[in-house]
Amino acid sequence: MSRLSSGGLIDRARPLSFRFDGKGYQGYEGDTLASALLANDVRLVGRSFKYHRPRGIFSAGPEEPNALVELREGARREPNTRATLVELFDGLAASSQNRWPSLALDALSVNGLLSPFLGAGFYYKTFMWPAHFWEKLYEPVIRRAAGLGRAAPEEDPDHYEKANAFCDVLVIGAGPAGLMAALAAGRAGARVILAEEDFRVGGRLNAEPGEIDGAPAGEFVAATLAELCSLDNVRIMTRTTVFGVYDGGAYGAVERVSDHLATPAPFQPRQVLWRIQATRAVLCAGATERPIVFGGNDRPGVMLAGAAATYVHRYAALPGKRLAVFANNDAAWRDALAMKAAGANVEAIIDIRPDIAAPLAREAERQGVRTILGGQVVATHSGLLPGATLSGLTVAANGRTERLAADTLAVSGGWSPNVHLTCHHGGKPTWRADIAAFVPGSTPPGLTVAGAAKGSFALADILREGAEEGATAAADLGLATTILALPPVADERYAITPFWHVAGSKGPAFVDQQNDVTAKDIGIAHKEGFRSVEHLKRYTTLGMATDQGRTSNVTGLAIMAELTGAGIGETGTTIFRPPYTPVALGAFAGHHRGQDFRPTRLTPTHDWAASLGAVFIETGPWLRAQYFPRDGETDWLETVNREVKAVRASVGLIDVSTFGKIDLQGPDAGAFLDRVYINTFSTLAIGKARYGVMLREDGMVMDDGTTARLGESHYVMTTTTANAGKVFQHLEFCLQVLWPELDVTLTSVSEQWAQIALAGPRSREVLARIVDAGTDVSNDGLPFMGAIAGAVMGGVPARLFRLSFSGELGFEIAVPARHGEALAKALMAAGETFGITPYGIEALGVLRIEKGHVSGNELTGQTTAADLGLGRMASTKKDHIGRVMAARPGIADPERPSLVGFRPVDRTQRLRAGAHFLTPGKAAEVGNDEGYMTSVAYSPHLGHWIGLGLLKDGPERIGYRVRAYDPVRGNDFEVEVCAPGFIDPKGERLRG
Amino acid sequence: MADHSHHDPLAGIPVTLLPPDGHYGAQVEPGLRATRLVPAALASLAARRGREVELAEAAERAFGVRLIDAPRVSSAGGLSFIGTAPGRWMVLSDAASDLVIRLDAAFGRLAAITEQTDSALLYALSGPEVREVLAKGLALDLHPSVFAAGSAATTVFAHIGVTLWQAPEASDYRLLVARSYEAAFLRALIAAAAPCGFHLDGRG
Repeated sequence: MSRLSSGGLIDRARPLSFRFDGKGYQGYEGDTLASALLANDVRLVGRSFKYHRPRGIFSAGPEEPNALVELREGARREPNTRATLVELFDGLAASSQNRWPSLALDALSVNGLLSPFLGAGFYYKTFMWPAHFWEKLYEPVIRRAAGLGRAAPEEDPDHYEKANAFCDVLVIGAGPAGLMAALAAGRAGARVILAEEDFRVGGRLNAEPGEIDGAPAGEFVAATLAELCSLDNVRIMTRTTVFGVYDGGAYGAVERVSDHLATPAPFQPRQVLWRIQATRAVLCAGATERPIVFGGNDRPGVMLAGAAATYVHRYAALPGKRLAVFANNDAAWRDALAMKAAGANVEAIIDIRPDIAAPLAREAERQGVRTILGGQVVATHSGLLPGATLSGLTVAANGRTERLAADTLAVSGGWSPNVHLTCHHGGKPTWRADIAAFVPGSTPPGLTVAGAAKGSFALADILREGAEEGATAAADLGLATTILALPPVADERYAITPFWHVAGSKGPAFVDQQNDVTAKDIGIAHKEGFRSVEHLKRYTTLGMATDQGRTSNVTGLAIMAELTGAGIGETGTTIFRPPYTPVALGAFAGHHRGQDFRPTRLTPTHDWAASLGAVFIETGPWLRAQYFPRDGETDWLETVNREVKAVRASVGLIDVSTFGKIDLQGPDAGAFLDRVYINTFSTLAIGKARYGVMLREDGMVMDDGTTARLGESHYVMTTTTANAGKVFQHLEFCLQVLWPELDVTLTSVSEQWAQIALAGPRSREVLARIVDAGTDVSNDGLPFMGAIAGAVMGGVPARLFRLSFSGELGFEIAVPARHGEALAKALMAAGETFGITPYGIEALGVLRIEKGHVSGNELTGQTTAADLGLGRMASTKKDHIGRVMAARPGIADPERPSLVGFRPVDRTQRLRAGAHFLTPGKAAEVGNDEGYMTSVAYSPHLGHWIGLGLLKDGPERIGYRVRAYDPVRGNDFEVEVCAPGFIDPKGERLRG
Repeated sequence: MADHSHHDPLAGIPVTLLPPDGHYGAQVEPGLRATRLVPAALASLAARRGREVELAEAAERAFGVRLIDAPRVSSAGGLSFIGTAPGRWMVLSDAASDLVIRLDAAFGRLAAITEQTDSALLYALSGPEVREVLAKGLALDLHPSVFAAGSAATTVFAHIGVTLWQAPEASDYRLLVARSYEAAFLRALIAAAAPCGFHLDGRG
């Protein structure tokens, strides 16, 4: 055990058991998996992505490139989880990944021996030819070797939520700057949200032993937190990462509600995806330490200096027994000396700088820590066993090299402000040479930055900037603010000499440890001309792993800048995009998965249809009855044939409530309809309905349906189910934008009315049995295309339309939606003597294809009214939307494929929608394509398959044959072209 | 199949079923209560072009109500006028009177009046967690300083269109949801309220 006997923000009274790679260990509440592993002397935790090199814990935060594990087991197994972020819980089980057969002895580590050949560009250069090897050989092999952890194959058993939050001031990060910002804004009365990624507020104060106002920093954190909690207007959200800045002050955040538990408490979500709407935001995201790159720098035992200090102070876990520090800046010295004071065995500090500030040098001497100035680590060593961890270093200084024994090397190349969120609106970070770091450039509107995220590394500055930015944010909202008293803190100096790479070091020197990108790879990219940072990134994959290059980007581009001779500022960074950290897709889905992927709409007769055994099908958001199988029927076609025959022979009914229904009122309603439909409605008599076709502005058919005139200035329009919303939107656009002078109002009545279509030669007799006295549905009272108001079932108001989609005598009956089911039952009872048959949308489709009516298959958005044989409906006496564009030469070309019917020459053949038409004898080539089959059905009336389709010069070719070529299903045979009406072409039945 | 029955408040309830009355989610005093109220009568009212002022005057005369052309609700004499769009209101009547006829008589050619009684279901939502639950589907700030009594909104809850308001004299929220979406709405509400406990009643 490497646990200190006291100190740390862990609760020794609450021990927790956990397993890693099957072996049991113990940690404490307050630990992360990484800190608990280190406290148990587990230093080898994973294998690298490409070369399968042994890797240890490198950091103590979200920047972790190496310590990625599979967390949990079974359906909750999560790959690539950063051990540094996993809060320890009792019973936690994790395993290492990307190794076989075991972590210590990994077969694919042979890749490491091949590393001279597997450098940058290897894949691009090697797997070029022969081209056909790619699909069969290269890709499968590469895919098997790629990736780290394994996703769980089972459905995720947990629930995720999405939620919205609103605030005046969003403070991102609850370190010293964030606490002060939240306090300043909170005291001013602003509605504040303080979001912190960690499960504990305090940020860097938790990892250092410093004092604030003469007391341990922890007391300042606790007191500030207590005051924030006492303010009703402040909401503190821990375990919450703000990952993106979007438009208009919207921020994306993910809250890990239950990730710190073995399983979520009953009914609690695993995670919540927050959309936070903030008028102002203050980014207090701190900074991330970056390493120095040298040969063998990826050996387990090499870690960031600030991380080592975090393990010692926050978790009371010693990262090793013999520590050395390699740095170029003062912060690392303070970390080293504080670790030593806390009981860690820090044996040496190696600094590339020949001179160091006297107070630091004196303190090192006082504590008995050896210092090697002007020194560099040129190699690392370990034992010979597979998976062995760090055992020593070779240090070069002042012209000599020496070997030091050390099991832990704490490295620091300086700190990089966490500028990510400032770049989400295109802001470019700017280089500050004095701190050798990029600091925020322009920020998204409403967002300001304070503290280390802005490049201020002294605690006094951090506290002051937090207080100032918090107060300024509140003042921007018009709130009165007072200046917070700043607690006195020790004076800290942060001196740094930029240093990136030990050029003469031995062994592979890793820049991006997660993607195994070495300094040599950057040299290759440079030589081959991939010198811009964006090319460097894509050619070498630098920074493209799940850690998004947090510890490698700046170092990588600095090495490139050295090679090109350009400055670092001029070289620039790659673009930071949301999300700041990986976010589970489950969180984005929230409630909307499985059955709830989208809201389901139910028809008024759903329960009735279900009680009859209907099979349902999704049509947009609706569930509609597809067909109503009966006992003994063996397949859907048998059922559909029965339903179709029943309609043609007697009577059937179907729920058509899903049609869009739009109520139009106002003196200009008729004029308005004349402009949106190709045909005329202003002349329609009251009490009559008319079939109409409307075009888009580009001349293509948008939708069709019937519109009835109920009064002088009152119409009701029906649209197709699919286009109900789109048509309403289109009509509103026309009224609000194109013709605001027209006095018409539109109201959706789709939900108000249940509508049932009744079709078949017996339909009038059935309807007559359910209408109230005074409602006349005779041929005189309700002639073809009539529309009347009446009453049914004893006082239920109804709208009765004499319409037909099937080609039979037909009616549509609309009643207030609550009566929809009763209407269906009443019609069933009234039609019992005629064998009334409920039918679904399959039979509806067959009936309309037999009749030659177009539907969604033909209204593709690429067909004109002329293509569909509806061109003659267009009135030439008026203008209408789409008229001008429909006259374009290409669109008006008479040779365009247009609607005709088809039947197989060999009547036993089954037609297929999607088959393409060719002139017999012509080769099956795109150039010979003459159109395609849009709809097919088996016609029980004719006893063979029939189809509708769009054929070049279609109407001219009736009586001729074409070849229907369907390579997808392997069909190729001749069909006869015929008129698109297979039944009652004169329309005698529907006028009967 | 994963075992999530003990966390899934919708286990065993297909999307085709209106969730039955009862308690859902955490076994605690419900953080949210939803009661289905049967709207006695509902109609939409849309001002004719340029007649908004006359319409407001007529509303004052006929019903003693100050019609507000904004996302607000104003009530008088058992009628509530909920602003849903510029120049548009949903009118809700407490009594099963012939609402459309009364509105026609009051407004005549000043407005388009459309029967909507069967188009939507009305829910009353209350409880200590009501705002937290609604925040899971509604991108709307319900803080009392922003959405106070008398405020209304026509928006979406979990991708489902709703009209929401807070009655001037009531602390609860009222919500209209389209009939065909009722089951989907209740599913989203149950899922959102399960962590704090949910009670549904009034479906009879």
